[in-house]
Amino acid sequence: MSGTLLVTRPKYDDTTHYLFYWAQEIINLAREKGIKVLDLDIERANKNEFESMVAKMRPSFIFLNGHGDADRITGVDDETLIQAGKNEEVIKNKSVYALSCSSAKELGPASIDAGANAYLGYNDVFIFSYESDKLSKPLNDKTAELFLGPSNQLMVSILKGHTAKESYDRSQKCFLQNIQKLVTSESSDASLIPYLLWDKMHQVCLGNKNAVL
Amino acid sequence: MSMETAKEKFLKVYANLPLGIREEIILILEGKPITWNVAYLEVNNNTKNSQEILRKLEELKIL
Amino acid sequence: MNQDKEKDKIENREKEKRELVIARLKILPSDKKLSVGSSGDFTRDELIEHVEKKDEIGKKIVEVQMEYLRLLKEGFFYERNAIGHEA
Repeated sequence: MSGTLLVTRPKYDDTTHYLFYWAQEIINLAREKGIKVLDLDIERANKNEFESMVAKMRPSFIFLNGHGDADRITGVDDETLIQAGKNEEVIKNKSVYALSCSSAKELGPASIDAGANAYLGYNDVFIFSYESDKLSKPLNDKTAELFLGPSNQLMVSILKGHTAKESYDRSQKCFLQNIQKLVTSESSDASLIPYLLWDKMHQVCLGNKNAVL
Repeated sequence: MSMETAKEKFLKVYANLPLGIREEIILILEGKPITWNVAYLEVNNNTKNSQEILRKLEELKIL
Repeated sequence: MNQDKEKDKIENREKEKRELVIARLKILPSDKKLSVGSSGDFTRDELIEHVEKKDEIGKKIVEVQMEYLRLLKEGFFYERNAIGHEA
């Protein structure tokens, strides 16, 4: 395994705008740890670059940020990067964390069947709340942090050398901790708990649970 | 499930709810929202409303 | 006849769920938005509109809220009863 991380992070609407900046934290951490990072950002998060970069550089772990569906993950302007039944073999022998909606429902299992190592993601929509006035500074958004913090925790754990299952567990714990923060009598954000719980419940770890970066 | 059992179930669930959750809306009664706390007062005092509350909570599978 | 009665019952229940969810949505802070995957980003009032319209986004929000309400009795907020999902 090369220990190389490939990241896709388009940026063309509020959602991908947030994911773009929160993924930057992961990229920064990876680089600090001396991990090679292939950053397909903004316009570079397209199918051609994705496929050719994966084939040429052979990353061991792929972090996909963007929109999706049960059978696909998209990049810039909703262009499909990877789709079940079309090109899931592109991630053969690789591990994936897909921060996108629903892809763990069909694309995840199809990828594992096609030889992917581990597939972490969500088998239904991923929902997060954010503060409208924080668009210019997404990393300062404490509301978004409730959701994207646990998501990032998964990648942080991977970068620290933990297995897919360990990283999944740590992310789940982080979701729970945030839920617990909100259920106390002093919280004013309890209305966000249903969405946090939803994301926690629909996060899955497929394939080789011992997979590492 | 009998009304008595539903009451017991409600009280058990309510007792285990974090304080912040007890102020959340869980039902619409006579067109108006009620919280866990409001439901508790009705159920604990066996009011006429409590029967409707428990029935609805069971129907919605909240109990 | 029985089928019609059953259908009415189901519709009434769905209507009750929507009314309950709308009441719960009204307390969402107005300065926050919700990103619902590929469906888009919504304010509180937009979410309420979608629930009232009974469209896919509205149905998803109802599903999320009702799932939460049903899980309250499981005590998911306590570590021992934490609910997660693995395939």
